[in-house]
Amino acid sequence: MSEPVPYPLLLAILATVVAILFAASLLTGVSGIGVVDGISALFYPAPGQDAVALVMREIRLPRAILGLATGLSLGLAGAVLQGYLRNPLAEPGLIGVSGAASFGAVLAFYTGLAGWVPLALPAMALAGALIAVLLVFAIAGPKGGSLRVILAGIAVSSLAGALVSLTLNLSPNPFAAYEIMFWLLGSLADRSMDHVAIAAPFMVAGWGLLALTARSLDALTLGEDAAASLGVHLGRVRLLTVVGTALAVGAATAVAGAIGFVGLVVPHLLRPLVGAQPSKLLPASALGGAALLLAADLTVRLAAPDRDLKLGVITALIGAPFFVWLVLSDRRAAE
Amino acid sequence: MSLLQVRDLHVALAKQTVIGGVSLSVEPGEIVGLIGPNGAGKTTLMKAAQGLLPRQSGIITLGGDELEQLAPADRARRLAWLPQEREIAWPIAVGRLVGLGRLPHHGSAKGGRQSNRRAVARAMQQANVAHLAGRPATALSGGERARVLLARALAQEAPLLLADEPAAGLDPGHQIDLMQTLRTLADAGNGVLVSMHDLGLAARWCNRLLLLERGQILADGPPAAVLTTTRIRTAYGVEAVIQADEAAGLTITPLHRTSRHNPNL
Repeated sequence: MSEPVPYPLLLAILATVVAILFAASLLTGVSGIGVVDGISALFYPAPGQDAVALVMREIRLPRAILGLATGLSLGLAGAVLQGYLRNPLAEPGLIGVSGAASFGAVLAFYTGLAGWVPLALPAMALAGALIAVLLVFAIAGPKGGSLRVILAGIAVSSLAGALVSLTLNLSPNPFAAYEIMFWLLGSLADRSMDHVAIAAPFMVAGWGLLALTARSLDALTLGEDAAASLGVHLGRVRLLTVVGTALAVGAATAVAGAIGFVGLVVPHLLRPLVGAQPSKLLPASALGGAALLLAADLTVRLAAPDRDLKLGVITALIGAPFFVWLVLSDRRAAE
Repeated sequence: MSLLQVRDLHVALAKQTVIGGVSLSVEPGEIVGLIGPNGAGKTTLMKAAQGLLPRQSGIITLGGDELEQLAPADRARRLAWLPQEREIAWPIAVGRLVGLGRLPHHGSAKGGRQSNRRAVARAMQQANVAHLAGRPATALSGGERARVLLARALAQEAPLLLADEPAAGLDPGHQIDLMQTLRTLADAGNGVLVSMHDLGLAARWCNRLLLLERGQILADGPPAAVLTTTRIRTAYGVEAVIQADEAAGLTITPLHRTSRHNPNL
């Protein structure tokens, strides 16, 4: 399949869309700050603009940055995992990272730690994600192929899911359970620069590892044996994929909650536009993920500013019909 | 110098000995046919000979250098592998798929854009798939897919090609095209090790045959010397008629199961 749009143009379009949505994210909020006021306050706050500068810098900027970085992490990790597993249904949640990160976060709520130390929540979620990776490797063994990684991931994610349910089950009061459920739905509301600071280093490190898989993923199009014969070190690709996903998606889940479907939908939508080549899909999918998440976060704020709609709800609302479409088009191709 | 030399190779899978002391070599200019019944260890031998499977013991050299001394990309520039499973995961364009054969040359002197493009064009010409260049690689017929994957291996431009049952599932015309492509490759000074089940095809096109049975080499030599009714009976458990003809060469016709043959043996 050759691409309908030249690749550099596609990336330029996606980057422009991300830039526009990022700007829109900065300029959208309950406080009704004007475009000019907002931008000038962000960069050169005039005397007397302190309140506006505070809103822009401490509330909207971190939210926009986290929207961008979270979406980028999910889109990139989704594309890498689908390429590595050669399965269009793979997504970052598959290897247990999101589930374990959620459990870490839920534990922070349950123990009350999240109330005392604001950053305990993302820190514990991140720890959960990293433990999940260690577990996946311990189960899959040092040389397991991609199938065993999936199986180990499913085992870890169902365990994490069960532990989250158990925690909800044992939750001391309905309010705590309510809080946990809300967090699990994913949101970027009320995040601060501290959240950016704790998540960003892990995300950036994860992106770096994931990006290194590009050429190997192309070779894997021919299967593991042929890829290995082309000089691809399968163990290295596996390590980069799993650790990269844990860092990027673990950090994303730690600050934004469990946000599904982005990592599944975005690589799928963009695959035909890059001629299905896995290496080319990585940058496109990273940008696409950022665009989708920023758009979903804008939708949350614009559609019901006073209802605190959850991000995971919006992405799932986009994702579920997409899944149906996926099945239908597969059926049409087969019939 | 041998393109591939294997000495006393032992391989065990799941604690079962699959290859028990195999030695072989492939020289420039020859097509070596690897024959033997299902489960004899042909695929295991080919994989272990290039380090894709761990071995218990044995020394393997590629072009005179020990396998373990070669970096993966270096190995891939000396040996191309065409697996039996014709796997293509994504609908990428055929031209791009063939281009994957150039990955080992990335960053080397022969990995420039120009020489890559030339190598891919040449490989597609050789495998007769140039007209498919823009097609999605997943939307091909079985025969086209086999040829496209052969082109991918040829694009690697390694002096040695290992091919695992490349003729499986091809019609007689395409089988002959395939063997002709391998012949041309060998005539240009390359070596080919190819496993196959069609004994007639193997007899006509290979310089040398290796008959593998239960992980051991039963015979190694020119087709006429290796293919005897007795050996075919021992290895495959079938009675066959072998005819040597001036014009047609060797023809082998399997007739029926050997009466004493026990499939569970």
